[in-house]
Amino acid sequence: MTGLAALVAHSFRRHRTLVLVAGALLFVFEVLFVVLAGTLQASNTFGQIAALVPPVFRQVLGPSFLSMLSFSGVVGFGYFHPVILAGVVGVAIAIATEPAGEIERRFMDLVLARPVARAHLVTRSVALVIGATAVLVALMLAGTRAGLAWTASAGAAPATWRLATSLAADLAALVFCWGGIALAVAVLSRRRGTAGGVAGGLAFTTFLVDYIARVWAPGRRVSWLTPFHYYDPMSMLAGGALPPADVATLAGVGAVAIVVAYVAFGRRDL
Amino acid sequence: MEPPAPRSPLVIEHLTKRYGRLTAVDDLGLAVAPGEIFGFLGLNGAGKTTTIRVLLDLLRPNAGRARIFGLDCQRQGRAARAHLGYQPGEPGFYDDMTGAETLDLLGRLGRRPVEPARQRRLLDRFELSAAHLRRRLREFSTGMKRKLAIVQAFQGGAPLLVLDEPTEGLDPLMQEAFYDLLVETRRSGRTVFMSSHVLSEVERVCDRIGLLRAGRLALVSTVGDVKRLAPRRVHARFDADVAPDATGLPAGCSVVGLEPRAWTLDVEGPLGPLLHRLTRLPLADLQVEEPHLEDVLVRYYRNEETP
Repeated sequence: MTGLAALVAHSFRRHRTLVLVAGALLFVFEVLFVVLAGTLQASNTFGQIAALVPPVFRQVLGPSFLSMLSFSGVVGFGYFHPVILAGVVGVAIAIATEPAGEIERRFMDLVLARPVARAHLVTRSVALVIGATAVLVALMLAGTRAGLAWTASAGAAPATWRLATSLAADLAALVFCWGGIALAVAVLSRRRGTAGGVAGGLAFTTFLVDYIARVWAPGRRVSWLTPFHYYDPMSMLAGGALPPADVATLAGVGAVAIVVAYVAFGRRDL
Repeated sequence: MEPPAPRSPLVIEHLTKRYGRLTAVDDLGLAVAPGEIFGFLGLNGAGKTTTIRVLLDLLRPNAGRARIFGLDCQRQGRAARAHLGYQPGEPGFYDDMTGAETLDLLGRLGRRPVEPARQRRLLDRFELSAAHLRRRLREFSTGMKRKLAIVQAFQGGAPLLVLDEPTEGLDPLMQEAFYDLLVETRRSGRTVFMSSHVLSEVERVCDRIGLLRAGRLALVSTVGDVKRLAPRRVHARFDADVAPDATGLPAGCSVVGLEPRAWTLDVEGPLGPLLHRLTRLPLADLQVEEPHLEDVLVRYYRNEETP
């Protein structure tokens, strides 16, 4: 086993409980969203909820609000519910900040006293972030699939599944982006708590900025700077396709952050 | 500094490392010979650990360079570190890993395969059983973690060992085991570069020492030569009262105590002139204390000596 493979295996062992527990919770969450959607559909509740919303609010919330009041809409919400977003992005940040934890603990000294390139530690973290993202998103999709099979909503199933895969891909791009940013922050930090706090705080702040910009026009002047500006699952709920430009932007920001992490970690004093 | 052999285990040339306005290591130069145990001494903050971290390429120097077996520690860092075993001052193990997992992981990261027989001998020497290694490190005492740190440094059989305060936290028996390991290491032709605060340990195991003071090398010498710089304490006891006459003492003698029947003197240089003087007195007994490394080094630490 090469040094890089040994590092990846070591980090995988350290994070497997976090990833598997988070993945299991997401799986259950997605199943519940499908069950909830099926229950609301069976009781014709979507129409009643829509009728309760005053026209003025309906105008403010836009057409995407109505698209949420459907079987596919509720299932799709399971991919961008704020708790889900916080959980998945949080796991990515936790994994990506491992280098800062190793510096803090001085485990890094033991590793780098051996013929291990600094770049290998960054590559290890990138592999873990990508792997964890893939596992989490796959388990979310598996939850949706299981829920669809269980509720046997045969008519809605194919369209809902297509929507779920698009939303999952979009979510994966967002998580990769924040994983990259958290890694860049981590390799410049001496403490994992600091790195996690900075990356998490940045994610929360940019989420708020983007959220405000969506309902307050002046905010749009700065919202293009936030990764969440390029994450618009509501447009897919309204029938739009997975926006390749936005996905590429998120992936690009993540990739640039990873390049910054390689360069910064290669140059810094430890 | 003498020109080093082309493949010396460790050569440091004009090394300078600054943290902002603080100069931690200033124009440091030294060479360590093959098969030598080199003690790297200095007070806290003298720059010992900074120097070691430059060797490991954890820190990048502002000027100068260090080479391990001719390989530049920065430009050819990976290749250089393939020849090195390192014991940190504070071993940063993961508490939730077992001893066996820790040794296995660190062994896999090296380029030299860990020979099970060598590892077994090290574990036996430091009384780390298979049952100990199955335990998580949070259950290890400080001393046991120290022993594990020694094993991981030596298990790869690297030709150069860099050890940072290696016996800190070890009980006296394990210190003895460690000294035996150092002697064995030297016998096998491997080289040791160790920092230490324990002067008795340095005196016992090191062939040469380098003393760092405020980032600068204040002294490089063999242990024997350093000891020769130390004054020897001489206790003379007389059968009859002797007039205390300090003016009649030979050069190099300084008085510690002059009683009518007992003199205590510190003697720098040869003892002959003093003995010649004492034999003319009613000498009953004479004791000459072996000089200690500490006697000289403390003077250097206190900045009483200049390089």
